[in-house]
Amino acid sequence: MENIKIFFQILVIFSLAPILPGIINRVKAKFAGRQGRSIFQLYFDLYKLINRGMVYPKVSGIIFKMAAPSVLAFTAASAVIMPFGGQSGLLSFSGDFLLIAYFLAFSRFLLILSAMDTSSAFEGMGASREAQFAVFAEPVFFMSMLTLSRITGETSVYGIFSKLSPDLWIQNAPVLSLITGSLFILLLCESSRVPFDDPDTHLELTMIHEVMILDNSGTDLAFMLYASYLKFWIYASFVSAIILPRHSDFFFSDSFIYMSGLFFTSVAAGVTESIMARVRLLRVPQFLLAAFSISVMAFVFQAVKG
Amino acid sequence: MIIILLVCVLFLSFSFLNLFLSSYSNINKINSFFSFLLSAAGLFACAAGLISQGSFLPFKSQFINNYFYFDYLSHFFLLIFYISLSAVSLYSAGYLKKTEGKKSLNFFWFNFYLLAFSMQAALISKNSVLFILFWELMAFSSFFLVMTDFHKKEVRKAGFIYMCANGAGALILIAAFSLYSDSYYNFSVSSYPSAVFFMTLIGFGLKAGFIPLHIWLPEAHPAAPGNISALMSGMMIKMGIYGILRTLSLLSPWKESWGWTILILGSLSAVLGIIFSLGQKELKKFLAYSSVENIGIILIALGLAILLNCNGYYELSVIALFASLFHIFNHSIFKNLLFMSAGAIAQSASTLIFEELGGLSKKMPYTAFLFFIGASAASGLPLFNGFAGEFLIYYVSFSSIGFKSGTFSVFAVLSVSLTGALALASFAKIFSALFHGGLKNENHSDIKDPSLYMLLPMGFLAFMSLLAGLIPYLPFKLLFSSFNFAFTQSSQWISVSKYLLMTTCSYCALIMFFLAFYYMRKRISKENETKEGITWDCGYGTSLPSAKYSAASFSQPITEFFSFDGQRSRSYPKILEYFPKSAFYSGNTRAVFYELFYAPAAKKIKKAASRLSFIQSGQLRFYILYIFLTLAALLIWKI
Repeated sequence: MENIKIFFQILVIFSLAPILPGIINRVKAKFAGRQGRSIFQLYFDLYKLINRGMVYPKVSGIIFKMAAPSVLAFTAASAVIMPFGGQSGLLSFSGDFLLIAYFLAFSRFLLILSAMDTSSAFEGMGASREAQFAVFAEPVFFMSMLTLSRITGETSVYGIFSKLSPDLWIQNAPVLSLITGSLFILLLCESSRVPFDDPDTHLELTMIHEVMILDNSGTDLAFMLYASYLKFWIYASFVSAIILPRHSDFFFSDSFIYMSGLFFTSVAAGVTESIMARVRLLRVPQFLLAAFSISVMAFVFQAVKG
Repeated sequence: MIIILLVCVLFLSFSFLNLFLSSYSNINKINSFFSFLLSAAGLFACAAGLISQGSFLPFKSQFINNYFYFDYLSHFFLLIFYISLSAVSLYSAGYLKKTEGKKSLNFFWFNFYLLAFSMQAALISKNSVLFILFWELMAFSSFFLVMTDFHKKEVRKAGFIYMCANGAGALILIAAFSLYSDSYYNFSVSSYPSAVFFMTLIGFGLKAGFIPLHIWLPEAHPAAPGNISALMSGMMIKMGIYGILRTLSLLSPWKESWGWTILILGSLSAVLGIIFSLGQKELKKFLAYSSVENIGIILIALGLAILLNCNGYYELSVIALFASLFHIFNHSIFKNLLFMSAGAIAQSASTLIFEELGGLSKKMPYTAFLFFIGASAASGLPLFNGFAGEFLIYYVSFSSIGFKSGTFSVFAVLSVSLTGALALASFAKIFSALFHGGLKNENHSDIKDPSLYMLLPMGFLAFMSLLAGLIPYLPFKLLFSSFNFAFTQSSQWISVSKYLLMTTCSYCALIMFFLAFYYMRKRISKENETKEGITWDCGYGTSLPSAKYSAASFSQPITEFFSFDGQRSRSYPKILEYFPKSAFYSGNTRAVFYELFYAPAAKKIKKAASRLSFIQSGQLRFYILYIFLTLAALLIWKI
């Protein structure tokens, strides 16, 4: 039974990941007073892209050719470590969130290198910004995980998620809400959404994530896009597990709660995108430092409490 | 143990033999071959000692008992030393080929053997007089090796700074050793533990090169030949860490303030080291700063070990110590590899300045591949060995965050994670600057991969890096199970083993995913056309190698954020016309500590010292008078 559950949850993660950005798009359309695309539109896009041929820049080398499958592999491997609902992930051990963070860091490393491999000035610019944002984003994640680990006394994602409960919220409401805030900002940054980056922009000079995959085409582009959807799923899971802790030990209701948490997170991201403009690039480090300060504040509150 | 002593003696004798040999053409190959054989023998002896737990227990002979150590710590460092040395020896055969016939290499090899001998001897000496003797011999021989290209002005400047650092370190160490309370000069418990600790920290720190004592590293590494900078970064700076660990092993109980000092110094050098490295324009200087960063990570783990020990968490404290030792092992492997690759590039392209290089991956594919492994390991990314040590630091920090006094682990986690993100940015920058894009220099059209003599040791190190990264449990067990047999039964050991094995499981999942996606793409792309096109540049259509996003512009946002006024100097013309004809940009990042602190301080000291120069009259009778006065003063003091 356990094996079936794990198989089922991996299937759900991989098949439902593109829905979340679809929801965001829909929310943005509603805010702008448009009908908007179907939330399944991204599936069609992926299907269209995956069946197309690829064009490689002449100057690029092996790193560019290997980047797309490896970036997707790193993201997928971190996705299966993530727990699902009340269920542990395929691999769960103490300190597994470090591996998630570092797998994603490696995929970023490869993405940067593949962008630089095209020797395009646009892509170099995007890669440089991506590297810069990561410098400020990484401490936010670790600080939040430190605080969560201290509250729950656990050192694995599954352990932390299973210890989060409404009771814990009652005891530690300020700390948990601060962490939710900082993780939400982190989610927006890591999945390149407004206010950090605009996935819908059409000017190369202002893109960040989109410009790094500018020369990817066909199957490679589909892989890259799918990897970014999975990445959104992973970070949204952290937020969702905190705002809607599981209640029962019943698999289906837990999964339902978890999925609705993801749904709310995506809606919140969509609303943020609709009501906010992009911040200036020079302001992004300040924004992330604010998130970091919030997470430090959460830790201090927790430490003072005992 | 006998083998190690024998290897030591052979190194010394070969060193002097070199002075008497006539310099004929094969001297290089013979020397590097002998050095390789000897270090391989030492490596096997050491590995056997570490695996067959306890063969390094007290030896029967009185002589060895009184003058030499053959304990765990010595064995561990000797093992790393032999790995470094065997790789460097083989590499030297290829690297020095260019200089063959141009100038005599006898003196070089004399110093090389002497350096090898003195490092081993310092690692096993138990007697503080012997130790300082070998320590100084090490400084002396490495100074001459750094000065190999003494006809260049910057090399002479680097050599001078290096000598000053060595001299200052040795003076403080002698003062510290004099505080040991043992009339036989053996290292033993002192009655002033804190004074001894802080003095040895400075003295050994000048060798280890953590901030703010790092100034000689970014000068001496670029000045030295490639094989020597590999050996210096792979092993010599670890000698400083060895000294600190040896001192700590003698001074128990430890104090909490020591732990905090080491932790803060470690965080400072890790973060500042990598930030400084981002502003560098030359590969070896960059790698030197990256060494400063890694020494910082090693110290962070050591600081955690001391703090945990002081708070009574002994088992976790041992794991933190392992983390520190593990990172020493890992760093020595990947930094050797990186410096060797830098040497290979320097030899064929004859420059290491980023903006003059580019597109090397097509000319030097093997070097590019090996450098990629080294760079990924140095950025602390999973699958490679640089991650394993940092992973243990995280393990210890997250295990101790729940403790009441566990707030120190916040420092460790934050500085290691920030360092990781910065290292990722900086290694991505240098990799793409060196290997991506087109060739920037026309003279570079005939460069190629180095000879097999150089590729083989590099490949060996890359293999070790990958193996230790994929299965971190393997080196962990081999290196640390002989630390203390009882400890391998403890609960912490078991949970760390499980933790390391689980990372290997995750890597398996990752590799399976990669293969699945790779073959999926291959199958799909069979049906479709795969073409080559030009890079998208808004339809302009002519990609110039010089239009590549340069290394300096890549790191500009980060360096700009972390720099302060006066640290960076820039010059560019003011554009007044609508169609400016030419433009240029030049930026320079200053070595903050050297230019803002050490150089002015040295100037002031020189000025003050010149006031006292009347003492040095140059006449012998005055010097005899000084000796007489000193003796008289001592006599009066004793009465």
